Amino acid sequence: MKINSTRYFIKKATPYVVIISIILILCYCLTLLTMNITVIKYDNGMGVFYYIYPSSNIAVIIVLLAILCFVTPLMNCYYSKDKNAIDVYSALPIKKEKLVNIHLLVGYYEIFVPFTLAYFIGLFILLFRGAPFDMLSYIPFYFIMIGASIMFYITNCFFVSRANTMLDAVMFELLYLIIGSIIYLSFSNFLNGFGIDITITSTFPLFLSPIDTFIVSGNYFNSSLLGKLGEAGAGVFENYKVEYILTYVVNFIYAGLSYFGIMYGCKHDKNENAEQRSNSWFGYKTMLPILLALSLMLISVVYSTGNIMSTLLEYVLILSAYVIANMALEYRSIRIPKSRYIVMVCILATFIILNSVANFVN
Amino acid sequence: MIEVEHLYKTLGNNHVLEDVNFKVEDGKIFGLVGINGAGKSTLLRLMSGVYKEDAGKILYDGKEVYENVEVKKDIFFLSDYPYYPKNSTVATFLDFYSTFYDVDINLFNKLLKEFKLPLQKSINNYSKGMKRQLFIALAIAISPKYLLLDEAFDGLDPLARLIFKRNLIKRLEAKNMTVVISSHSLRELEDICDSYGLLDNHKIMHSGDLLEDKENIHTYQVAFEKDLVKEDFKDFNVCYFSKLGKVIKIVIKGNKDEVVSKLNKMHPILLDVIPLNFEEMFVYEVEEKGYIDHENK
Repeated sequence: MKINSTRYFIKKATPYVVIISIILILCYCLTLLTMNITVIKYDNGMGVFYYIYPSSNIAVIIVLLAILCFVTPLMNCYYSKDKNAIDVYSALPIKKEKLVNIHLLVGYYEIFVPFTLAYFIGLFILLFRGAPFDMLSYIPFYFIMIGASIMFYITNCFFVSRANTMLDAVMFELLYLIIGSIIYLSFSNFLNGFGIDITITSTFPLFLSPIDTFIVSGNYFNSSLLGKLGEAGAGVFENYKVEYILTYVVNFIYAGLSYFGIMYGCKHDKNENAEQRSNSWFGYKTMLPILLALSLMLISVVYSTGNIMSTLLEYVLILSAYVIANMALEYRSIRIPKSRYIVMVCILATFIILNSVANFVN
Repeated sequence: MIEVEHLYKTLGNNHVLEDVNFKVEDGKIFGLVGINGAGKSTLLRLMSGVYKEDAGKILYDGKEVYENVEVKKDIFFLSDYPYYPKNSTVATFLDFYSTFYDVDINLFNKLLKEFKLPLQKSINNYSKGMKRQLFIALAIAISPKYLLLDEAFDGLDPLARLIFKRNLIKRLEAKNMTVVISSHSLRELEDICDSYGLLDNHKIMHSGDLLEDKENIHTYQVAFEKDLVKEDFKDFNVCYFSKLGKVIKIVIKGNKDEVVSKLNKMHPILLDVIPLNFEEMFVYEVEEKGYIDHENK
């Protein structure tokens, strides 16, 4: 009585999809039902009229979608992070690549259905309430968000696939959410010390982060939906256009590379690594030294008070955080290899040299 | 036929298996024995295609198993801590496995009745033994060409062990299954196994036909007029020697008739031959390797 394996996993995921759909519909639709949709006009007492424009609250569904794209890869990777489950799944008469693709597909099904239901029920509520937004824009925005969610989901799946435990999977996802932004922020500030300006976008330094598509979408969609109301949306899109295109392209590249990485990993990763220390080059091994370097750049250039004692204290705090992170996250032991201390000293020395050069240039 | 040839596997810095070689003939039950940590579970994971070998080959009818779906279709691996989807009932559990394997539902239900398992209860609430019974029922209902069982008797009560052994033998005869089974319950293995392999020091130290090997080692209880010591038996392949008064208990490897003939030449006043069971054989084998001393035995 063998049935199609994709059908089995979809059937298995369906009760979860129903629960998530109900949660999303409740969160988004209750917001839409209770929010103010009228433009408030008031007089400042001197004959000048001011307008308060309602928010479309489209950011609510975008945030919920982002949360789903973050959580679903964790829910769907259980079988590769559990020794007992991996015994069963790896012994099944099914190709590893096929199993991974089925889980990717079923994972996106768990995102797509709740989002689509909540989005369109929300749209009907707005139409029913006679909201003064540009309703036609909701259709292209839906497809844009579907694209963004696929990219963010695939990218998260890759980070999760690099971890050997669930805790590491969560940490890798979080690290990659912030690392792109910190790289941008740190470099732009550090290079400012040399008088070099690398500001590309509208001051918001998130465009290298996989979540940026969602953040920019919230601002951009809201302004576009309000565009019909006149000045409320005017010019806002222009502010975000460059960043929006950039972040979409960056995330498309992330997703493409991530899918390639997932497929490569599923062929080459060893099953016996489940529940072991995560020693991927995409994990703590690389991330912690990068974070150390970036934190040194950020703290000393951006926030340093100029007081030697407080600067020293900042250094000590960052170096301690690096050592503790190695102990707590990567090695789960008080003893960490000497190589990690050597890396720390090298980064510190490089940073001090560069910082001295920056001070000399100025 | 299963052929394991020059198999090597390292986990971390630990060389678990080094140059492991053995064969299992079709339709036979092969018992895999060894002390804790000998590498039995790792070997079974390699044989089921869960782990990839570092070197060597595992062949099923001449075909390698790792990432070979065609071969895996004929294998069912029951690990020591078998997995089931969270919050499963028997029905959802069966849904999962019947997606990938041909399960004989009627036989499965019949075995569940024999084991008296509660069908509506969540598997989470099953005891360790009940979970094991459920998986054994599944393994027998799948009746694959090759069945790999890790710690198969673990947690089973004597009645469940009996049901398991009886049904396994029945299906083995009906389907010409080949079974590799690891267990510390050597008395149970002795009942069902045709051949066995002793995994020790990262390799199969000994493998062979269980009955033949049992015929080749015995306990001899002897007494002599003279006061003899262990050194007087240096011409024998002695596995164990103890003396209480004049009575000597000695375990000797070798053909029974030849050993008795040699002992008779020493003019004993008492000579009894006591056959060894599999568990005693195992104990003397591992004792030879130095794992157990006389006091602890």
